[in-house]
Amino acid sequence: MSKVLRLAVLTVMLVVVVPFVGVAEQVQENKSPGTSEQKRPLDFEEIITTAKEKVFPALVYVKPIRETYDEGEKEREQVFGSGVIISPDGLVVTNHHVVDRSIKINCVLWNKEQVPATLIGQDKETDLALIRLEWEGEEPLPFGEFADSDEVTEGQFVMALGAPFGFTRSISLGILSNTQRYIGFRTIYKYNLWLQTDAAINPGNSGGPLVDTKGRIIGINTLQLCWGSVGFSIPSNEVQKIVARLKEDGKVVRTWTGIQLQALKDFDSNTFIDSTEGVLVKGVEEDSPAQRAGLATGDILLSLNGQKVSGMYVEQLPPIRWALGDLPVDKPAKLTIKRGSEVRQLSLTPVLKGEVEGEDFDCHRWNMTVKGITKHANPTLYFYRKKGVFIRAVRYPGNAEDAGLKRHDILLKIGTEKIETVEDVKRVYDDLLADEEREKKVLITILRDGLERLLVLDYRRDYEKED
Amino acid sequence: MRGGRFWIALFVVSLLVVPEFGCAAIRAKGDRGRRAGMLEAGRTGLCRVHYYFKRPPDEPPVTFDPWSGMQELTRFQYDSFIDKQMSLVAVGLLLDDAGRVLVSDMHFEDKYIDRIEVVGPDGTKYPAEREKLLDRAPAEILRITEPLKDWTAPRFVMQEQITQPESAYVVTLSQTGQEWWLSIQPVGDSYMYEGSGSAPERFSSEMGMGVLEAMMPGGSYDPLFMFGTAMSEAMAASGAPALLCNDKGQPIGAAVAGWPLEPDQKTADWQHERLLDGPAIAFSELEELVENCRQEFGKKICKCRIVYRQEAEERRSLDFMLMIQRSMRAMTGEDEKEWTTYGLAVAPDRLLVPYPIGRDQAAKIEKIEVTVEDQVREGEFIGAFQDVGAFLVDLKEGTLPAFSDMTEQERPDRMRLFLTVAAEQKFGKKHLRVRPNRWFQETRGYKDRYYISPVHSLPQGTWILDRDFDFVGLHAGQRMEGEELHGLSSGIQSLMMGELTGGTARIFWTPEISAMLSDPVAHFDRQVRFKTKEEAKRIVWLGVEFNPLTRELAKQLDVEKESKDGKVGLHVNRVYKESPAQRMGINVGDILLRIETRKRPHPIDLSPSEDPFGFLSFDWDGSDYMDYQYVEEYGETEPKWPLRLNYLTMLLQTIGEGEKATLTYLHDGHELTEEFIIAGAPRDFISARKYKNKKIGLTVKDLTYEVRASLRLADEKKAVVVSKIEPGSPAEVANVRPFELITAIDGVSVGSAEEFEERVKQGLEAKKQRLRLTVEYLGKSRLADLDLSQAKAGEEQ
Repeated sequence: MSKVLRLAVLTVMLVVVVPFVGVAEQVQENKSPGTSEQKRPLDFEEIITTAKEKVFPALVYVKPIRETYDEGEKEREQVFGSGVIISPDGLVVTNHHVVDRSIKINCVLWNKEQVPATLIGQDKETDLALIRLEWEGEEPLPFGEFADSDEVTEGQFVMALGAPFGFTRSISLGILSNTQRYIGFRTIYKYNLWLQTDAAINPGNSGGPLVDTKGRIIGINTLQLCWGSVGFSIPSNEVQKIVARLKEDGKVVRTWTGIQLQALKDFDSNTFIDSTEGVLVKGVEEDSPAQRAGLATGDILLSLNGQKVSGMYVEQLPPIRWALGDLPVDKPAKLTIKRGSEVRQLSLTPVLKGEVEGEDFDCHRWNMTVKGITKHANPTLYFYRKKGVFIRAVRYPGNAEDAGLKRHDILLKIGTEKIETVEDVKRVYDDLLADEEREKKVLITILRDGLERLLVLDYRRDYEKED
Repeated sequence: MRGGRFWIALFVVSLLVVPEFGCAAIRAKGDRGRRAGMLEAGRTGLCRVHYYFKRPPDEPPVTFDPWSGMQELTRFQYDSFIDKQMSLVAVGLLLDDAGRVLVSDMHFEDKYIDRIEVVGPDGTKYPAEREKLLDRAPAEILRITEPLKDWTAPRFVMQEQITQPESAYVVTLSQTGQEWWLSIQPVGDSYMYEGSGSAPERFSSEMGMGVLEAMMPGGSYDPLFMFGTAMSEAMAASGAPALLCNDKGQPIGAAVAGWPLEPDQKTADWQHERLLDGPAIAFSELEELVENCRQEFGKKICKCRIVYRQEAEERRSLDFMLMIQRSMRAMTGEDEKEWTTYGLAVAPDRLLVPYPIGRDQAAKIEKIEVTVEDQVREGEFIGAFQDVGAFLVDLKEGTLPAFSDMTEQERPDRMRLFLTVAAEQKFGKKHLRVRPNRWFQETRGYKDRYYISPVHSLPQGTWILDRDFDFVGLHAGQRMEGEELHGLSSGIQSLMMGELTGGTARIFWTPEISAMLSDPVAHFDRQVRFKTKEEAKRIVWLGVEFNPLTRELAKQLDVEKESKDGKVGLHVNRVYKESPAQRMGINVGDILLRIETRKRPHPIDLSPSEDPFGFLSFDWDGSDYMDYQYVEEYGETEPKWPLRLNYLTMLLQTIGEGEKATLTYLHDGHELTEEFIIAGAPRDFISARKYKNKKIGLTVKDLTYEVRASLRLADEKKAVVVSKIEPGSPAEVANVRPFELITAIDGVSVGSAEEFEERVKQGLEAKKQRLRLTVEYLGKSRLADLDLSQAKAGEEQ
């Protein structure tokens, strides 16, 4: 496929999977909606109004200031999102991508009071985060109530609440289009199913609640497709599960087995395994507990510590992944598998899932940012180098760009120093910059598509001065 | 191009300066009467001739054709005069009272001439016609078709020879703005110092100029200059006839500007009587001659339609280069699929096709159709010559009706007329373009030989015939040894890959041609040959991947001296197992500096940085747009292995498989030199054995060395690589993507395309509904079912 076409595809992809982080916009105050509407028999408006009034006070407008490394330097930006208060003492659920890398979070409450908040925990793989309002008021805070998301049905009316485009709260109406949507094929979101709705969801709605006509939270709005006309929310039951973990540990601890699952009847690849039980092991990661346990591609996993697993369709995969992720670390687990017609017992000792996100660092004077390679976030780079640092972004214009360095180049050496961790980069970078005597040029050894290259980074020019 | 401008400049200088000497010389003798006599003879004899042009209705539009050169450009010149509504003004010399006017041979084609007008000394305009083309002077004679009014020709006296060069004068007519000037100049001296076959006492003079470079009327002007407003002056000045006078001031004949004046008229006439009555071809005869030539010689010319095999375009990064090559070929009427050309029968079953053919083209000739007397017969490519841009085609069956037996013909004398024949397609039919021409100039060229160029420029691939239509020579490209290498090493490699330019054209006379034809194999370029599809995909290798050095890098690595400030040098970043490079002991980190081959007189610096378009240094695959934060498994896959056709392999390929070469490289700061034989590479991704099944929409290839190395696969790893997926096929439905690996079918590993084919066959024979593939990409695997229900046993190819 040509680069152009590929770029076009990419553009579409990016449009498609855009979390609803609002961009800075002048905040405009909306009038509260009128409350003295005329009553009508079976008044639909009244139902909406009741529901809205129940949950509106719990809606918060989240305004974090965060640091990003996406443009080749450390930058601060204010982003906008939404959240919902879920306890009288000020716990707020929002999205991971709203508060990720924030250095300060402010929230605007229903009464237009701005309150700072602190991050309690977040989970990238479900895109959820928990923050606590630093609320010093006397009275308890209004909070939203969760509904059982297993009970929702396609076609029921729902409302999406949030602060789209950085405006204060708003509401949009729609129905549930699908209650069991799996989107894990091409994304990292493999641990839960999604509620799909046609209620208009826009940037800035991220983290806001999706509520039913009784005003109860059935999901947290997270992703949009096709410019907001198709929205995805994390079901409330998943949210509650994650919230409990975040409250407890500040993160979701998962173990890693290295088993890759595929549904027995997988419509994505049109592959239908002739088995009525278990789930297909589509792959076993290299050097993983599963590999050590002797698992192989094509095995059918029947049970886990005696518990039967069933992965007939993709929609059944998330619970199995949860079960695998919840296996106790360093404790052998019993796996029953079927290989061909033979049933075998295997013993697998999971390890803690390593960090999902590598550390960032801004090599400011070189006009590039670097990041640690992790197995989960950068599988392609990890294929070439298990432990290392890659270029997250290069600033344009900038010294790294001039030198021919590119995003996703893996740093092998700076000068004569070997690079394995972001700490190494920091140390070498600081040493080089501190050395006044030295000519401001350094030889960089990178790995690009598995081939080593030498480049000279000339940083005599200070682009900062030119801004 | 030696410019008309230059000539004009010299001419003007000569007008300013030389007449003074001339006059001084005459004055010294105190003979004013002699000078006045010459001026008077010039005034009555020299005249202006206006040519008016027209566009013949049966001429195709002018297109640029790289092989035809100036021939086509003269059509531009005619057009230019027509468009500007200008006449071309030339100088003529009235030879007799019957109205015969000598003008230089400007190679005009009759069909372009609308009318000719001669302007007498009193301004009277007379209509004129072309009478004859002189055989022993670069001139033609016009005849005024109306009686002359008060205008008589100079009284010429008979003189056989000019004994003393200082005893002759020329009177010339030239133009400065609207004024016309007569000038008297002594003929300059020059004696023959050394020359082949000439008596040392002979001398030759060019009028007024001493020894000047010869200007060829109608041929060698700077075409750009010709399009300017000053074109009529340029034309008039460069080929103008001048009145030649003896030391007594009596007119004795004519000289043509820019041509040597031979005192004894050994090869060129100047004497009045000989100009009037010497050998010539009447224009009325010429037409007949041309028509007869078309009939006679045309029997020996056959159309060849060369059909090329369709090749998949696999050189991903070289698409742009291919585009350029294609557009260049399109200009020659050749496209990717076929090429129509014309050959001369040189034996009962053999044609000589007078065009260069490139390695790439010859390699993929699928069939040749030779049209013999309206019958299409099958031909076969025999080989291309290494010296001349021509190749041989044999008939597989049957014989040709007539052929040129190549008996040794004497080459025509300098200045003599001969016929040139270029075969082309015109309005759907074979057409022979027959024109008179002559040769005058010999220039030194390739290998210090003297080469002859025609006076009026010719397209490459033109046959030269004597007036009996016997073959005497071929005007074709002089090929040079290693010309592609020259292109590669001088930085124009991107355009030259597999293409031959044909070099500079010159005339090859019969002896040279017949020597080649009598033992063609000894004269063939062995690199230009047919290759099977399989063979054509194979290339040579050294077995390394590399990156070019840069100035900065050379400094950092402290190799500025050896790498000539980073302009030379390939930094090795991978050495393939069991490759020539590995056997030579080359390691990652070494820097390759230069290669020596017998085909080039000096070492070739390894310097892709000279590539003007940056094709070879551009990183086509290094960029990766996807942000893994959002998308872990990007839907598109791309090959993670490097291109095989890089600068180095192109260079080695051009030197040729089996050739000996010497490599100089830097290892740990020491220059090492190794001799090696350029060897064929093992199969790579492009040439790998493959299996294609259209029904299941899948093409798989064997794992090759570069794929293994790039994907870091162990030697014992068994897999095939997916190279193509047909849209809408079971393979696409199964979400299998190009460049992924298939490691197993139904859980049993598969290690080659052949094995894959066998397993599909077995599956079909066993009436299996599907095959379960284990697919792998960058260390991650999954299963995919390939639906076989649409495929049938026995038709899997």
